[in-house]
Amino acid sequence: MDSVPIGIETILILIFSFYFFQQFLRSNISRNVYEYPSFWLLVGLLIYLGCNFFFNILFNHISIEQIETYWHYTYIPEIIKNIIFTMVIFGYPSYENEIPEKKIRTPDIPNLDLI
Amino acid sequence: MFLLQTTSSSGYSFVLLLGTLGMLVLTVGLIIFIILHQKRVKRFNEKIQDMEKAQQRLLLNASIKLQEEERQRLAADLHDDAGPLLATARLYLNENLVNQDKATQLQSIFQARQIIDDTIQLVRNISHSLMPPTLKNFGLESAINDLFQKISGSGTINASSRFHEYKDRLKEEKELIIFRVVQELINNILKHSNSSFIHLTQNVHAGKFYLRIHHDGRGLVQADFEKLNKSNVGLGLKNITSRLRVVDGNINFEKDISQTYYKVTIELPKDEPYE
Repeated sequence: MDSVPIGIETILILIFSFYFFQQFLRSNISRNVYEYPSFWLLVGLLIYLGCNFFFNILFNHISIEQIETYWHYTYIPEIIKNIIFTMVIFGYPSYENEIPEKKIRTPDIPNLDLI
Repeated sequence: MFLLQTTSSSGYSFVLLLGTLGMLVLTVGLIIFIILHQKRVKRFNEKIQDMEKAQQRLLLNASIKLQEEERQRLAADLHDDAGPLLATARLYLNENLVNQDKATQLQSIFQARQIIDDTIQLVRNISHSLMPPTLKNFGLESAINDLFQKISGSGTINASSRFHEYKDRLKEEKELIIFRVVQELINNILKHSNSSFIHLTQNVHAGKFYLRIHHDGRGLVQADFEKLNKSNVGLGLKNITSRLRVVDGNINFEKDISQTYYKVTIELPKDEPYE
């Protein structure tokens, strides 16, 4: 099994997820974070990738018996992910991004100052 | 890699179990952290919104209070000045006037006429204080120049104004609001600043109308203004804020770079020319 590419891919997706959450928290949104479908999509993805990360990268180093033992457990995060994805697809309407307002300071105006 | 090379088969199981558990805890922890953090930010924003609402209530109260004070002043002017004058004139022109000799009649009529002239002047002054005729007939520029000339004419302070670009007048309501704001600012400067000069300049820049007042006395910076606006004192400043809010305007109090004088800048969007 291609453990290394899967491991790198997982790490990249995790980094992207953290970046997304950071941007999400920085933007001044008025609705609750769990009301956004993209949040739940990432939660599903994080649970799936997080729980299977070690299984994937250790796949080539563990015995067949151990793989057969743990293999079934990988279905748990996958089922959770699928349930969340299904809920997102059927449960949420489309949403709009809210852009925070920016305040502009008074510029320098000609002929207004004494000097 | 070192960990993987030195770990036995049973050790891999341990790493797998511990790693998976760790990742699960991290993921759940992250989700809980994000939700809690967002709730905290939301509560903070709600608190700010509540404070803004309280501020608006304060401004509204100040505006109502000022209106009431203005009405009381008007009522007092009419009752205390115009009332007695007209009553005195009535006394001179009583029924017995016809029974008196011609010289007394002429004297009484002359006195009554004098009193009526005074009353007309008084009513005119009250009317002018409510709505300056210069503002209505000739616009903001003339009204402000007139106001500054009057202040300068008193000899106590040097007041001057200069309009750089005011060919197209603002709407009448906007002019009145700006004039009231300038009156309030000038009043504050005269009362509190102890300055030796006041200078007003006007210009238009990037579709916005600007007025700037300079003075060299004691003044306010934006932080002081905002602090006073949120407190229970400073009725005039609250009134300025509520008036400018009506015309989508802003006001900025600052000290000049040279630190020798204060400047107050009023900014509002320029609308269609006055028709």
